[in-house]
Amino acid sequence: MATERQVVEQLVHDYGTRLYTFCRRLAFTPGDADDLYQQTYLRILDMKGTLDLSHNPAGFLMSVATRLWSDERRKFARRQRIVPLHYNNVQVNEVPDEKSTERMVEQQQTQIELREAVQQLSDALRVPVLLYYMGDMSVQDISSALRIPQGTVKSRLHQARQKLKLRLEESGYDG
Amino acid sequence: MTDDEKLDGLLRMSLTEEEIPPPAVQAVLLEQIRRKPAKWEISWWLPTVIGGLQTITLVAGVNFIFPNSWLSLLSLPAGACLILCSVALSATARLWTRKERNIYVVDEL
Repeated sequence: MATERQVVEQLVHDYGTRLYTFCRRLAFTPGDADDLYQQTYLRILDMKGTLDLSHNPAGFLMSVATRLWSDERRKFARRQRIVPLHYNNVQVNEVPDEKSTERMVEQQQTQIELREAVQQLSDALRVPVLLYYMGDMSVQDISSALRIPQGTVKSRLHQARQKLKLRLEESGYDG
Repeated sequence: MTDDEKLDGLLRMSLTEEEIPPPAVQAVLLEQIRRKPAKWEISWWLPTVIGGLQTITLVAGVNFIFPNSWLSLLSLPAGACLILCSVALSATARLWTRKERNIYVVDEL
């Protein structure tokens, strides 16, 4: 068990930031993201067996977080009704003065809009997008993690891309 | 570069912009990992064996109390059926959970 603790601690150090970023995108509020982040590692600690860290550990962590979030979705959704989502737009102002060219600000703004657009997708579309782009997971791995057919994953990714593209075009993004 | 590739790149860049876990959250997590008591787990086959022994005891009890009655005759196939069902269910559950974990977890302890 001691070895397992060390492995989990190593995962916290190596992939903590990536997992936390994923949790922030997946959960509705920072508080939920913090909970989800901690619960994910504690769940891994409870798993029997030795982790195979040669196969995309970040993807594994994100799959576990997704499963946890999916199991407790109702609780998180209830919190979302009480505390509505306010996406942090501060980052535009955080660009250092010397680098704050018009192009960079535009790019930052596009990124923020894109993140908001992803956040507004339905869960069915949002979760595969997050796993695909943030976890570098293959369609097959996402299919296993979400327990849905590979064709459904591909179709959802395609639908999500179309919606995001449309949303960006509406807001004046010309590629 | 096609529009789709541009969108892919933009999505990846946008979503992976890192957010650092708050130090307090990180500290609490590491503390919990270090202090969490080891989870006590029983072997997967133990409940089945205990259930089987209970069934056998019950069948033996019925045969002892009501020897050569229709109840004692009925208890033998009923008990056997129950044991077979519990073994089948346990094996199915075991296979199901193993299938879920085999992507990432190896060398079961």
